[in-house]
Amino acid sequence: MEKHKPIFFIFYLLSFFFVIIFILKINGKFIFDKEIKFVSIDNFFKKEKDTTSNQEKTILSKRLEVQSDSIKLPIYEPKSESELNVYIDSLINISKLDINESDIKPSPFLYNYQINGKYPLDSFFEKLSNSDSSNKLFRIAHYGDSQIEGDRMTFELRKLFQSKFLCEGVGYIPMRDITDPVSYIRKSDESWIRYTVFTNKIKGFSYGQGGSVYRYAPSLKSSLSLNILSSYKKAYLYYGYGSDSCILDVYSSKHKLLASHHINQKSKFNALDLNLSSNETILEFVFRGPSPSVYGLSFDGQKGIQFDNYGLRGQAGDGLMLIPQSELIDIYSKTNTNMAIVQFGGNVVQGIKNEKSLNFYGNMYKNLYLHFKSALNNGSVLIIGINDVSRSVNGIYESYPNISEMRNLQRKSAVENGMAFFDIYQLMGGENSVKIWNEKGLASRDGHYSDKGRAIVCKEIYKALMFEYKKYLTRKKLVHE
Amino acid sequence: MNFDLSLINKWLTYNPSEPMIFQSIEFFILFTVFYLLFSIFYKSIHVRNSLLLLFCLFFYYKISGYFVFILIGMAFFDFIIAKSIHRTRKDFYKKLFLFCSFLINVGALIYFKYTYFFINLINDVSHSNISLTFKILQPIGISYFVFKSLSYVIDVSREVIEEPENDFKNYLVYVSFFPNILAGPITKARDLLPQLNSIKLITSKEIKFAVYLISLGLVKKIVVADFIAANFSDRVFESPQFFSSIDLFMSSYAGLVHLYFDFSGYTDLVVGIAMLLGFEIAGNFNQPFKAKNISDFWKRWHISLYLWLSDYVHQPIAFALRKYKKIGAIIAIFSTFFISGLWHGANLTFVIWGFFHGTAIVIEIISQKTRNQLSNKFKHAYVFLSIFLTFNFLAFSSVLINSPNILFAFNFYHKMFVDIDFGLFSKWLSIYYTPFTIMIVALILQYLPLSWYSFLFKLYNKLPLFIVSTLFGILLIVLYQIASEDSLPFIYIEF
Amino acid sequence: MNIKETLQEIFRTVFEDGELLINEEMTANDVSNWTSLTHLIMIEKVENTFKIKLTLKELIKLKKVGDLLDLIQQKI
Repeated sequence: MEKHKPIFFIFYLLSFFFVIIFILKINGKFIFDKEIKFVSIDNFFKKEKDTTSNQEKTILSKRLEVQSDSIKLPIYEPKSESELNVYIDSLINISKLDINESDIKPSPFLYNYQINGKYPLDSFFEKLSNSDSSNKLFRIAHYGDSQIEGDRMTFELRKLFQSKFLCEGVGYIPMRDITDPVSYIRKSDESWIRYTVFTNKIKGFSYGQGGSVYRYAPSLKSSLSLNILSSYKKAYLYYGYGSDSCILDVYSSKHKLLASHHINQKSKFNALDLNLSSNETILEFVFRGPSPSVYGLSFDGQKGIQFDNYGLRGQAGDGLMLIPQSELIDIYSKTNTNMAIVQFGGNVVQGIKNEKSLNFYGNMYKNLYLHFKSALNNGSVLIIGINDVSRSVNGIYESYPNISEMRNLQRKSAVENGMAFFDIYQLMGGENSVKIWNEKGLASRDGHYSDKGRAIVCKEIYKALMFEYKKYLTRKKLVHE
Repeated sequence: MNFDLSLINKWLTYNPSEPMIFQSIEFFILFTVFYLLFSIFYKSIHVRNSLLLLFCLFFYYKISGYFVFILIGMAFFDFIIAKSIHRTRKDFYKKLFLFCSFLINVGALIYFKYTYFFINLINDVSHSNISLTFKILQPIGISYFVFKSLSYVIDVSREVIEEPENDFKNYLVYVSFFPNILAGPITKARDLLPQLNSIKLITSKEIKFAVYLISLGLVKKIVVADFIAANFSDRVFESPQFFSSIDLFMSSYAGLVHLYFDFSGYTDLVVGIAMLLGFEIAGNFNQPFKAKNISDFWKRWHISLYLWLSDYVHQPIAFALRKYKKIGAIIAIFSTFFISGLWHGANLTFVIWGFFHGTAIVIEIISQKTRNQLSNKFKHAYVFLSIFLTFNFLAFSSVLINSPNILFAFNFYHKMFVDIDFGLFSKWLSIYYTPFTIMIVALILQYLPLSWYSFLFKLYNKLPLFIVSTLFGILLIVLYQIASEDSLPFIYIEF
Repeated sequence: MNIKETLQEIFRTVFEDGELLINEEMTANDVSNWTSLTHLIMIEKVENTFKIKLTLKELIKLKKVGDLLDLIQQKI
């Protein structure tokens, strides 16, 4: 005779969980070195659910200790979700408007702190203020990870500065890349191979200012076509180790020969002015003869400033330290690069497991920043900090737990060593902001900005820089008077 | 140890940012309490159904707040309309009443679900800038409960249901039935209402089958669907510009696999929960990846929706156009898939997706004879090729479902077909080894003979209830570990 | 020709089977070419041949060939 059984079933199941939770207390116990996570007694009697594990919590408690020794840096309180929503909505609204003089206000996210009587960005501002009178173009190298690859972010910044300081061009173009760039269309021959300083380190070989070099060897011919979505006045080829029999021909879209050059300089780095007979935007480059080391192309204005994009997908940034200091100095002086923007951090968050790893990465960034700082000699360095990145915890996306610590360390290294710092993490809203950026279509959950999100961030960076620039101009006037 | 009373308060009130989901501890506890009462009073239909109604309305309140009153109101309206249709003798009034129900149900659906869609469409076409001064929120599950309620009214008017339900309580349970209110299956009134009017003994057999379905559903969802989405396909669809063409190509398959395991897992869970309460509701899937063509696919995928559309959309149109033979049939198919597309989402991507599927079926009708000949000639090879092509068609068309807009989908297709570089595949595989393996294994399991599964199921059925309950408990703990595992780090193909 | 024979002729042409024999208990599952499309073509032929009009409601209630025969009988 069949019986009604639900009560038995409920009894069996509840007894099982009773044993598991209240007697065996399996939450936090280890099986095969794996920590078991399950409902614990606390879950039943406490309202707050706390999912961060013990290891991570120890770092959080250190939050106050990693402040700078010499300069007082702000400590931020996390915002509630509703506050974040209001804040991010206001960012969206502001970004829809054109930038007015009245928007140029002090930004709580940009740290341009005076050290030994000198402001980190002064060298940049000096160039900027002379950009009208000087007839030489100066360059800013923007280094970063996938957040900026394919000219992303750099493009927005360039656009904002170009409209204010009347310059043109798209800057540096690598011969091949994996993403679709936003400011030009490129079709490169299959024979181009990319070598990077961090994966193909060969002694005595040069990898250029961006850490990447392109060669088409063993083939003896290769081509590349470009459609540049901007006007320009000057075009350059950056290369090294040329050979007497290597020739570059540049054609227009109607297959008219615009220029022909011998790629024969034997030194490590050469910037060849292509001297095109007309500045057409659809171009084809044909290389013949043994492959030189090609670092890339560049399309610029006659004068003013240019932003060069060096996006390195998946990189923490440390690989760039493998480019020898001496080479950077040489290249920077040959290309007139006077400033670096360094934007890394998103790729190390998964690696921060404890205080040791946190300090390891903190040190790494300090060294990386100093690497550029000393290569630029008197130039300015702007550090753009780590952005918020989320991960799934019990199926709910939340921020990685130690991003603010990483930001604190990056900020400390920058500020204490005479570099400017832009706090992109706090601009986003701090902890768990990426979740809302994602919901509002501004970013993916792993923190990559959408077009809309990128526009917001870049406008804020631009406005913050412009305010500091205004301050610089007043300071300068005072000195002269 | 202090029990925080506010916790109970939190469990019982609606919080828009945390709607209740089946796979939560909160649901587990509330459901257990309800289930205990429900099974104690199983002999009294009245008490049992009242408890069920209470829980259904509470559940809907927990996911949709005060929209629960809209649900009750609409159910009451259709309840009265159906009675009136049944009572009146005059055909004219029957039609008038049916029309009223249609107006209210479809009107509500259009208002809540499609207002923004139409406004955007008008703005795009006429370059105007109309905007609403208020915000329309959507009652969750409206697409499902409107279809359930409508099918009841139409069935009464078609006299497929001969006697309309007399007890509003039971009818409201049917419309708000908590297992299927969120995302189906769209159970027909003629299947569920009779079960509400009879006493049902819930024996070990029912419980074991329910536990089997719930476990299967959770495994499909947590181990396969969520894992693939969180570690691969969602990432690619979120920002395809950061991924290579091979990532995009593979994510079109992963997107389809995710869609299936997510939805069919969810349906298994729902059918299992209903079974635990002693109700049998038909599932939604029947090995869809074994489909040999698209019309075959729609008999295996989201079956309850397909049957609904076939009964209430395709059949009347095809019947009305029967004079025009094949042309009439083609028009009926396109209309059905147009409505199906819109129903799936208020977005042109869904309309185009529906158009793709409609076109595929029309091509099938036209090529019927040729295909029959080929099938007779090549037999196994033909079957294999049909399944292969159908699967690829499904994967590539599902890109539209995963795209936020048409431009996005277009760029996605462009990158995955035009710029594709298969040379990167081995690199891709070394990065996405785990999601790929899970995907392949899950797919292979789909193609194994059913008899293997029924053999295993027979063995399982011999286990005593005590063992089944314990195994279920262990499974829940294991799944909890997998669900709380961090997602894999983001790695991109570097070259 | 009686109703049944006439219907059989219609079935043979529509379902493309010259040897088809119909009986009261026959359903769509018993005839290979009886699909939703050919079903409507068959209905349309029935309407024209017997000069009758069927409604959707009547059509839905048809479960087997016998039902159809009864319906035609009623309508003529």
